[in-house]
Amino acid sequence: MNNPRWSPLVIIPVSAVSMPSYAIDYLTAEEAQQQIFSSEHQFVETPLLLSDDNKDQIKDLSGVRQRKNEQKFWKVMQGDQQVGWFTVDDVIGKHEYISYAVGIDLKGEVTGVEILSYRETHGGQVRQADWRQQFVGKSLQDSVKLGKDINNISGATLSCRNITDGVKRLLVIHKLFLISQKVS
Amino acid sequence: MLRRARPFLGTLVEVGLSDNVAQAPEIATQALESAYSVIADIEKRLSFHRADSELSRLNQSPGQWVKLSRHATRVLRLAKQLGMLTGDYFNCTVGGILVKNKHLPLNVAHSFFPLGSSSDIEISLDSVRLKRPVLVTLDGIAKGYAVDQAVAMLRRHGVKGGWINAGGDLRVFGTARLNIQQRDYRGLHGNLLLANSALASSRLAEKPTREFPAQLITQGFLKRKTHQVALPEQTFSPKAEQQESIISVKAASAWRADALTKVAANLPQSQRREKIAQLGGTLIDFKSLAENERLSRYEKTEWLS
Repeated sequence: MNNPRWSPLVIIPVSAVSMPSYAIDYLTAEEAQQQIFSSEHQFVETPLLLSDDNKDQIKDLSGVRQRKNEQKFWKVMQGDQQVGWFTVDDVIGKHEYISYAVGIDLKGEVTGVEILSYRETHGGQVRQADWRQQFVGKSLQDSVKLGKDINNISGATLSCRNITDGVKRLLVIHKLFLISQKVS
Repeated sequence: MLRRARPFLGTLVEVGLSDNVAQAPEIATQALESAYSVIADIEKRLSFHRADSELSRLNQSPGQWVKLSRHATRVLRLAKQLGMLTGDYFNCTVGGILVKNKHLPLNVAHSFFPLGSSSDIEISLDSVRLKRPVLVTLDGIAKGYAVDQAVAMLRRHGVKGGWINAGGDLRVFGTARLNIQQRDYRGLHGNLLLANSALASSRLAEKPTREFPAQLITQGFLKRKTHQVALPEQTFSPKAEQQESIISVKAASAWRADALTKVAANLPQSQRREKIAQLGGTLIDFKSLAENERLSRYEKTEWLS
């Protein structure tokens, strides 16, 4: 009898080419504003200050810890009418630091998420091992060419779970502290 | 160059346009938006996590013909065919185990088998039927498929070159060239110039850890030892990360590269290269690439001097 044996292997898709080489900037906050809303909207910066009690409340409702005492928000205005909120946030994973922007409409629904920048958090470690080796034998000419090529790294485990959690936290903040502020 | 990343398919999906961006920025932006909406659409239809996806509808109705969209029937057909070709080394009916192990959510009310085989899936022109109550998960193939469809969309918009990388499933097309390195716990390896093809990488581990965003349990006839990486002499007990290996497969399309990393993971190391080639992929060993690269460079220098 040929009994197929179960081997409970775990296979994880890893970033075949992790998005970036160590760091990449996709958009500035201003560009993301235009991308998620439009160039016809005005953005009024409205920072939100959070007390320790506020932060506990956020943690309770979203299950995610709010690190910062000040969360950046912008009121999105069309003329003198507010149409939504724009916010910039960042999440720190074990391997990466991601900064991203979220648009929220007045109903509290997400209208768009854009990654602003991505940083590998252990660039130092990357550099230690074979990293230097890749430059061995490369001339100035080569490095110029290297600059033109887009370098990517494979093997990084990328998950957007951190971002999903982050968005959940931002929606809780919106519900708790911003809905009452929507009248400009 | 236009380069954006958004969270989709449980990872970050990067879309890069390397050509005709400056000449026609509006077309480029439109192309980018369309590519992301294709991905969002496929995610909505094929996600196991969503109780209202077409895939969940299929899983909820074993024994019945379920009318599905073109995308869903195509991916299921590819998954079934690859399952049959590989004697279920690629097996998309492992949803039951993953649900029982709490790696995937429970979206069905009936009792189900932990796993089935590709012959449990019956496909007609626009409908699919599960012959037995198995749970189909397309984790191992749908991400690659979404990348392929999004690349097709970019091309339809006239984009001449670019790439899409869905956290591990990458496809480069047209005039674009990507330089790729692989990273493991020891650092960076290799230097692969990718043009007009797809590359998928999967990390293979024997024990699940909390960090892993997705898990796929696969059927194997193999002894586990065959999956271990050749490591530098171990005089101490290796850390969890050192028991992992990364498998990269190159193919013409991203769905194939994606699915073949799972097949490769199930094969003994000695058979991987040959079998993957038979199935239309190329196993990429970044570590030997690195050596070749250095060697050729060294030889070149010798010649010049």
